[in-house]
Amino acid sequence: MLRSALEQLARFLIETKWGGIVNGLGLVVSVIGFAVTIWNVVRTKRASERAEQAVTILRMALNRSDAIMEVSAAIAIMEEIKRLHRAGEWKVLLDRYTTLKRLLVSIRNPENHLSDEHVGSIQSAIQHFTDIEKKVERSLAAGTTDQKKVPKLNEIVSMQIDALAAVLTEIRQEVGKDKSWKQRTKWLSSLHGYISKRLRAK
Amino acid sequence: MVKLIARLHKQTLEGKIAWQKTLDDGIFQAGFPNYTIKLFARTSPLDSSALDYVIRILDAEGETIEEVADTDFDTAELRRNEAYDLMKETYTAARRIAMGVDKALDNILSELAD
Repeated sequence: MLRSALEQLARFLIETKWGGIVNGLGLVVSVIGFAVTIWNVVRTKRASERAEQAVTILRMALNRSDAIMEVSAAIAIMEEIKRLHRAGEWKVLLDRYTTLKRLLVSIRNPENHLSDEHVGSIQSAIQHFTDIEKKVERSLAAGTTDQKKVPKLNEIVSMQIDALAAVLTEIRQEVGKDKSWKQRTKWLSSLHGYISKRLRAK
Repeated sequence: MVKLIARLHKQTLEGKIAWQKTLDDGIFQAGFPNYTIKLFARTSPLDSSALDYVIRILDAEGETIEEVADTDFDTAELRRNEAYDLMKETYTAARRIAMGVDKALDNILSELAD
């Protein structure tokens, strides 16, 4: 039954001009379908690129936020080290030097995108605390710890606090002038403008 | 090493290297990504009235990986007296930066101008 109906339809199309029209329509539908497919592929690619960009921006923001916390923690430990120097708590200090150095190594991580100058400052701080740790360790072993050296020790620690404060400022400024964030804000602002215009037109 | 000394000299004189005081008097250090350089003068083992200038390079863990004195140079690239002059000038400029001499002078001058 279905077969005979199809045969009748085919015969009708061959005998009349409808066959050519249907053929032409088929071609048009194919071309439109192909164009829509390409458009969808491009749209999907753009969306995935935007998502990737958003993930990169988010990752950078998280890294910077971690870096800000780590630098603040390092400054707090340095302040504590100064107090412990004054109190002559040499054994406790050895642990603090190690904790601080670990934190400084983490801040130096390339993912924090710090300038070479500031990475150099952090490297210099690591060296200072390595030297201080060695001296305190030797003095403890020899039983010659001396409170008279505290002002000099704290002078070096204060210099490192100043250097880290400059690093903290740089990281905070970088968050403010991030290009990707600027681009994102620009894109959002243009989208907002477009939607407002459409609403006004309605 | 000759190149390093020349570059260190140039950038220190231009004030581009942040030399710092250390726990030990007369030893100055500058940090670079992954390395630290220490610069100091010591009494010459050959002549107790003379000073040798020494550059020590330390790795990220603070271990010394290289140490050279002006007396170690005597090549066609860098004569011993040239090395002495370069390192002495670098040391003097590094000391001024670390001690904040230039900043102090600027401050005094600005005060005097008023």
